Amino acid sequence: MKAVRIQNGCYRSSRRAFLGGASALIALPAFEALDAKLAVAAGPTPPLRFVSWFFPCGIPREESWPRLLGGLDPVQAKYSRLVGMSNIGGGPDHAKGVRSYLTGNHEGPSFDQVLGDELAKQADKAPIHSLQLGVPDSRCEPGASCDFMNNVTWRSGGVVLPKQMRPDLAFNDLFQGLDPMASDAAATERAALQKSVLDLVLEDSQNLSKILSARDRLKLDEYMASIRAAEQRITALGTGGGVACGSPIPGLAEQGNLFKAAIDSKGRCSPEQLEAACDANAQLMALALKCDLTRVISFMAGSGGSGQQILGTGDDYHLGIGHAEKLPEFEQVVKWEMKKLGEFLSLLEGTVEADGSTLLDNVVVFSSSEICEGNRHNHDNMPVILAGGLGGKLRPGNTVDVGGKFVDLFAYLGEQMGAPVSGFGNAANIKGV
Amino acid sequence: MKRIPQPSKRRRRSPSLTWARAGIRALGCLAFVSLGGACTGVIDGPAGGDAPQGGLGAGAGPAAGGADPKAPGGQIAAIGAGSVPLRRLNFAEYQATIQDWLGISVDISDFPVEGMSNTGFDTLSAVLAISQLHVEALERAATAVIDTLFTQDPGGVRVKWCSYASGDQSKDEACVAQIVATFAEQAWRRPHASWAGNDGLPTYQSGLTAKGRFGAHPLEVRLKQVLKSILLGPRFLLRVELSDAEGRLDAPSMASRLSYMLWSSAPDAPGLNRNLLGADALRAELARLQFSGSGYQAKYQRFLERFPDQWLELGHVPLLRRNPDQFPKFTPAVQKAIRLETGTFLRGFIGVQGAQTPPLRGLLSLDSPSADPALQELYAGSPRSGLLTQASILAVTSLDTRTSAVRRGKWVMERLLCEAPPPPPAALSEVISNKVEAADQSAPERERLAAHRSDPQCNACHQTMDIIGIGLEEYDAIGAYRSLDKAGRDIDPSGILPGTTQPFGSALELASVLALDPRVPRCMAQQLLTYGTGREYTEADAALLDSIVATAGGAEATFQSTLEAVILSPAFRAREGSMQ
Repeated sequence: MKAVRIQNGCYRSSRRAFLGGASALIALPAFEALDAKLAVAAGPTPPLRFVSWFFPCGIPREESWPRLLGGLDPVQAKYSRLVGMSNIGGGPDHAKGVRSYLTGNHEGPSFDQVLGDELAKQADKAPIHSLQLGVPDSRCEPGASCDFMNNVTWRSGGVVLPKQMRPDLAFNDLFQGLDPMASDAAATERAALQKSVLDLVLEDSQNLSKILSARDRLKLDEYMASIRAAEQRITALGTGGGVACGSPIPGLAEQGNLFKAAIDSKGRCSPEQLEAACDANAQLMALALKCDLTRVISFMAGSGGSGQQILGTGDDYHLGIGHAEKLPEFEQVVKWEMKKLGEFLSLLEGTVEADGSTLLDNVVVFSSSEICEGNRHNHDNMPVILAGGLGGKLRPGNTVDVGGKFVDLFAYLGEQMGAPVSGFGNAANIKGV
Repeated sequence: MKRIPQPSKRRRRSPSLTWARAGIRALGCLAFVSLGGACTGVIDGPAGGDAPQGGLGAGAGPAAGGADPKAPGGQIAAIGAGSVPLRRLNFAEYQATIQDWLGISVDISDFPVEGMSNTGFDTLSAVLAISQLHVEALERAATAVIDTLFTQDPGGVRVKWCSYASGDQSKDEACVAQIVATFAEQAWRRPHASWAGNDGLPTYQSGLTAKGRFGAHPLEVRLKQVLKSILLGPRFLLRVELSDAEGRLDAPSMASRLSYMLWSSAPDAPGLNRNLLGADALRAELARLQFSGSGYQAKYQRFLERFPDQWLELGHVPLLRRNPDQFPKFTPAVQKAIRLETGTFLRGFIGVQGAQTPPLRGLLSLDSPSADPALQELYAGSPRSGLLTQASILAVTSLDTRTSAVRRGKWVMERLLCEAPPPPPAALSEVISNKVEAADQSAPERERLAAHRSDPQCNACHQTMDIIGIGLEEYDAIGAYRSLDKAGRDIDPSGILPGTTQPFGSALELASVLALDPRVPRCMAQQLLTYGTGREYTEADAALLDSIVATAGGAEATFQSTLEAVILSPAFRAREGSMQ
């Protein structure tokens, strides 16, 4: 693979070179070679970013939780374990736990969206409002909707923003355009056509709205807002065809069918598929953050009440492990989840920013679950990992008995990021992080 | 048209928007102001806690009941149509529409997962979200469909092609304009003339010209982009319905309502060519869409699968998980057989053209022994009577590891009686679920559940849910019969059906009491109406539902008579006026 030119301080690789180099399976970390070249000492101050990393089904036991964090050892100085935090509950526990994970309630918009809205008002902003990503997993059960189990991101008015479960497609959208095999010129043309199609559709929508009732217009508005968002994404990323800062994710394009099969399994994908999806998403997120395409990401390492056979432990995670109280297997899975989180954090730590700090130094990663203990479904003393330095505003590396609620922490993080969010908790309840 | 009296002021509070959208129903406890003990009452004001929000979730909020005379198109209140919100095609409908129309099978596997409403149906506007992710998936799908169309249909089998490569510019341009006109008419499911001056065709055709949006490209590229725009456009993806000043739907809108309800797909040419404004025409069209000879129309099979799957939650049967150590009888063969049993049972009520079918009360009282050996082994000759004792229902209403009387009771209330309990206020539910959790887990279900009935706020709904659910405790979490509970104690299923004075001493007796309940045929009408019109019905629609069930034959109503009465009802034939 060769970097062909420099754009906006990032290396931009040729589209064909991307594919040419994309034969190996994902290897972590993938882009340190280029990063080394980016290590410039006194560059501009890097932006602050927020990532949520959701893991499903909680933890086996509150008391065993600290023993399960070995996977985070490589970034030991860069994360804190927060103790005594609570979120609201309410049955059905898994679904409501997911719904309240980033909202602190069962109706409102999620923190990532309100934060994204605030950041978008600022003069210095990233092109993409926010990303919603997740491993292929879906959970629907009687009495609880798929939306509530599967998504942590909500707009106001109860509009869900579903997670993208195909990292290969997300990568194409962000970095390569629709047709990775095309030349730059062809990709430019393709993006321009796509934009024109959306324009045409918008024009017709405006005509149509003239004969609709006020109520019908609300639905049409939801549709038009989404068309505009898709259009803005094309505009923001430029029609240059394959804006690719940094480096490709090796093997990602070839994994499309694997992810597709995993989605088709409706929440019963193989351990290998799950691992591959986790790795690909970690790389994708690191790349999107590094290239400052977005400053807000929510990622789900599983759906609420996940029934995956994680690690091939032979059983449905929620039922066969969590509720069956198979503690050794449960611990094994949570250790694995923390290892995956640790690998993601290491990727961020291994990425050098313009001022010589690491990406992890400028990010905050909030990681927790929809419930505390898997069999008890409690919502007090939740397992919370808060990683990253947020530009020096956080002091990671400790165990902090912080108390408070999730929403208090969100209010605090909004303030620290210079983007205060209203409608969440009380930032003053958070001390010592 | 018959005037239906204004509904009474008594109105159940709409559940909070977001939970209505996606359908969580509480298993905890309910804040409630009791009206005479049954779980149908008024919850108004701050007691509810989570007031409905305005905004995008059409289908909730005060206007959703449809009888607000001050609402736009207020005339509709007089004919009881209510405010049926604009709907996106759900992905099953999207796929079927393109399959039937263009013969192309769209891959929707990378589409976002659809939500599900608290009604269980995936046809409600409020749950059919349209996010950027949806748009991106639909854009990819439209590109694939158009590419396939240009490679697979060159002879013009489905789209009426002409030659646009003659070299004569004006001829070629006239040809593509004609292709777009026919394509759009089919996509939009109505003749261009019926758009009442708001036809979108000129907008799309402008994209064909050398001076238009795609002007830099060759004619064929322009054509492809315009066709793709039509597939991504609002007139295809949204189910636009047009009506007169009083809200009466026009014939193309009626054709779509019928075909999307019964076929999950667009109307065919005969459907679009019929004047479906009169009752006789509607009856005839209904029969045409349902039956073919002595069997069913192929496309009607979609209704026969989708409606019961969603109404009774049968669609969850394949997703059920049971630990083989705990439930060795729950084999894959049994999992298949129990869904099939209920499906076959229901066909007996749906019937074919002209067949005599039993009244709906038989859903609870009739037995249809299955010859399936897997099922025979599970049932082992135990007593069964109707839906309530079928393993499919007993299993989908259970938890993975045990039965849940609350879930079963709630299922009966929602699915068969249409008295869905509202969700509990968030602040209270945690207190109560902790209380129930704290209760001795080894105690009999009846005693354990008494914990949340000790609170008067919870008791109003839970007494109904729990008593019905306890009545079904003789069947375990996979629907096998048992006389002892998990801990080896005798099960006491007896109770008095709340809202009545009817005692029962077993599940079979409970079923026979419920079979005579007038709420059952009325609820069937409501479920069909909800599925078909995509809005929720509440007590504000009481008069409408009473009138439908009376037309259908009251206690003697059959599935077919109810479906016919639903389709002939004002709610199915009108909506809030489009032309404001």
